[in-house]
Amino acid sequence: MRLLHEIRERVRTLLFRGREEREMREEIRYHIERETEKNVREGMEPGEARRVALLKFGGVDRYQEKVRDARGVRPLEDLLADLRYAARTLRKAPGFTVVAVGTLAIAIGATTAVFTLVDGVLLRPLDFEDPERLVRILEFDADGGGRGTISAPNFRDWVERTEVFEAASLYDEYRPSLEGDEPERVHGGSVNAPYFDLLGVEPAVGRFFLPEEDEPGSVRAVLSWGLWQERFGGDPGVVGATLHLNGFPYTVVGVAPRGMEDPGLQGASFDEPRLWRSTPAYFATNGRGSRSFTAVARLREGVDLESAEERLQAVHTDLAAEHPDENRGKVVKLVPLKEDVVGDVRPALVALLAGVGLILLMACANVANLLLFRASGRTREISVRTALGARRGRIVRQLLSESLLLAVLGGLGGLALGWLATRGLVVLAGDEIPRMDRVTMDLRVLAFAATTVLGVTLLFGAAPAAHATGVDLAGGLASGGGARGGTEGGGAGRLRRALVAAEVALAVVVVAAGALLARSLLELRAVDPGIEVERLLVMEVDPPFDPYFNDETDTLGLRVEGLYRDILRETRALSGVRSAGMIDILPLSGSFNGLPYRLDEEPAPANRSDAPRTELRAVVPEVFRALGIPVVRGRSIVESDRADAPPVAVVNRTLARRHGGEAAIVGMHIHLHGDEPHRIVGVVGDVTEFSLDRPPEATAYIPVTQAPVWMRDEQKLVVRTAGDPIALAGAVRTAVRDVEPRAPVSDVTTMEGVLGSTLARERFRTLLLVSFALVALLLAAVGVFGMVSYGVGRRRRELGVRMAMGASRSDVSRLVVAEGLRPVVAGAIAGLAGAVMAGRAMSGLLFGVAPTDPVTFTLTPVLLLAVAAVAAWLPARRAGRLPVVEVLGAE
Amino acid sequence: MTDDRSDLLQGTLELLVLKTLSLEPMHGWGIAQRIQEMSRDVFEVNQGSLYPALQRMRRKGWVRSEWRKTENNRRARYYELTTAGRRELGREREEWARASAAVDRVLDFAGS
Repeated sequence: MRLLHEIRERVRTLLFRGREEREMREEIRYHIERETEKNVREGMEPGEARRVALLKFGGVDRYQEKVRDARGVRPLEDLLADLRYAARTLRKAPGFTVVAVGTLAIAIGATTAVFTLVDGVLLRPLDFEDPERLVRILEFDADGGGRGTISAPNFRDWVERTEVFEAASLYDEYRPSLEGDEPERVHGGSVNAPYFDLLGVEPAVGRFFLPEEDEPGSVRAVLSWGLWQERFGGDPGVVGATLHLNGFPYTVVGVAPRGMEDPGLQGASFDEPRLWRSTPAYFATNGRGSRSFTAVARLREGVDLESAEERLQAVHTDLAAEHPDENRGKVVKLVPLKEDVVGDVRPALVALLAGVGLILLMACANVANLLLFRASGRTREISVRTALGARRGRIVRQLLSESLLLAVLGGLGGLALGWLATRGLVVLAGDEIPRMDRVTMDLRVLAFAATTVLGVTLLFGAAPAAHATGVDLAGGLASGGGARGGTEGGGAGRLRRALVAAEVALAVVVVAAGALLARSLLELRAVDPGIEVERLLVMEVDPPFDPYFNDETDTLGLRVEGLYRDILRETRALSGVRSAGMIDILPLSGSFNGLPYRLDEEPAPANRSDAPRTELRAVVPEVFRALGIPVVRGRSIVESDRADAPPVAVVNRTLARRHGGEAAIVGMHIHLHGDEPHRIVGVVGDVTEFSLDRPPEATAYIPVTQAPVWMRDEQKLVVRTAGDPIALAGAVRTAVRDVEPRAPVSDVTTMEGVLGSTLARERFRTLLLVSFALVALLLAAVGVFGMVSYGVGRRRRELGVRMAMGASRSDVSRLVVAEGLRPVVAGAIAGLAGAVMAGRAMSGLLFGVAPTDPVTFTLTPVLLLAVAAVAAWLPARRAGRLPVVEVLGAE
Repeated sequence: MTDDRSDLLQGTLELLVLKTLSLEPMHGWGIAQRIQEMSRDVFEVNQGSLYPALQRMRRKGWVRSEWRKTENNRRARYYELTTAGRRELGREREEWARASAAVDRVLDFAGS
């Protein structure tokens, strides 16, 4: 009760401070008046009476202080007063304030952004019920090799024989054609009935799969929220509707919740599935040796991972004895699901966090240095205040409040910068890092930032505060705040110089690494992919199974041949289309098939496994013209190369070089598939097939009509346009639909987009490292600036003496700069050593640039020296300008 | 600098103020005069300590204050005991009585 009253009083006092002060003064005035009157009545003279009254009262100012103290809000009032004073002080030194706040903002911003990333990706638990019990089941060779995928019969045995799982499900990628007005190819997953229940999510509408419904022939599907909104307008009536996937009817039983994190296939970087199907028959058709799936499971309550894994391995050993052909020498592993999803990126993210942590520490050290420099100039002020009676604690508190204000301002700026940086990171790294779609700045991040700000305040505020309280009073007053002469020696000076050297070393390492990556990226972009990338529209066309591939009598595939020709004819008729063709696998798509081949005109190799390999592509004319691949000898594949015509092929230069050159190879016969050889009728230019950093592979092109069946069912339509390719996308889609409305068109993009996405990873890495490099460079520059400024401040007297003795201004400046650069040089040398190591560690990421590229390694230290020289010259210049009289004489 | 007086003295001052105000509401100067009178000039209140004490007591809820016009039409702040203040007065009187009785007993004992 009393406590409540006290709090109320304190708040009231705080709020009405002004009025309280006025009333207090009035109260005193009344008291003094009455006392004075009494004294006058007792016979004193008015002047005397008043003086005695005041004396008896005992020091009005001190009284006021005591009243204020008694009011109980003193600390808070003092803090506000200190902050106001600090704000005034900072406003008077705008240059310093901007540099200090800027440094802090950048460092705090970077730290906050990376923490947001780490929190969202690594720390945030998976969005499922009780996610710690979810695991991935993997199978590897005993020596650790293999991809980790498992087979269906093994899975069944594991689940049935051990009893460690509450529920489990297989998972496979499923990419059906979804029919409808706008047929499209969708990414999806094939799962077992318990899948959603074991994850612990609730359906948005309808329900999920039920194990009872797992009879042969039943086909059920669950849609994703996104697919439900896009294609069904969010209509709850979708439950029970029929969907045609690859021509087969599926019943929709429900819709998954919004934003569900599907664990899908192993690892990350998987297109989010838009639907799931449960077809028990599908998994049943796969044999024990066919390891194409992954599995997700929930451990039983109370079962820990290690014992579950042991139990599983024991069963697997039994299975190896029962089925030695398929299972011998394999081990089974359980991995926590979250670990499986984010485990790959954890080391990189942790390294990133360590990196920004280092930057934050250095920023604090820098700002501390700057503050010390300022504090050294205020030694006299502090001495005076102490002499006048200011308590040491009060002074420390006031200095700390300056630091607090700087930190808060830096923190606010840092939050803004961090927010921007986070958005940028999400956009750039979206495909590279898992779980990025939900990375946002939330309360946890804000709390982290606030803690950082406070910690930072203490870190860099402690130094000047401690310095201030250690001030030698008499020395401060007498010497007028000047230096005790000589270069700054001792522990503090060494520490400061070592700090600058460390900052420079770090900057050298990061700048060199960033330069290497940047040059690598430029080299990559300069690689000629062998095609003309601009103004190329591409999209995938999938003819439906029925009627194009289900007619056994149509062995030559005449129906699909006709379809492709019709599509191309319609496309070429559109205005704005220069040329068009088809190919089954695009250049730069990262796909490969690598088939063995042999030439009739050359002796066959002794072993099958020694046969040379080539990439094989099925094309429809005029794809070479559309892509811009030059025909260097002979002819290209033309319309007359139909299904019933003699089989022909065109090879690229790389393949031709293997067998005697372009002139020689034309006319030879190549066996690619089946029994009948294709006659080589021409040679075309090389194309980078997988990615820009690998040389072109040997490639052979055959007409799709003369290709095996499994190469005919999916073609990429390639259209060379006169103007912007995307502008024509709608018209081309309509043209395809007019020819065959049931053929889905998907993956509509431009060749430039495909090229861009192959470079996405390199671009992201480079951008990140270059940003780091800039920050490190800035920090080093500020560090040098602070160190030299401080040194100049401390040595004013000595420098003044030198100038009085005849040294010129430029002499003094040069001296200061030279001494300032000494630690820089030391740091640069250390940094070079570090950069060499970093380059070696990075060599796997580099292209076209040596890890110890001399140009980079020469220019980087030069750049740093130049920046440091400028940073040192600015304060040195001021040193040279000091009026000698002022420095030496009375201040 | 904030507490030249010991706790005991501070407590005594507050007790005296409570007693003074229990008779009638009064302004600060008046309280100072009355305490001087009542104690037969033994306690010449360091007037500078009176107002802080009044603030403390106001914070604790023992007194409340109000600006009024005095006899000569000047403005002064008057203090008045609250119910809590009265209770406190009673409690402190008991404390004081008990303490002084104990001191008396010790003195008697030592004396005999």
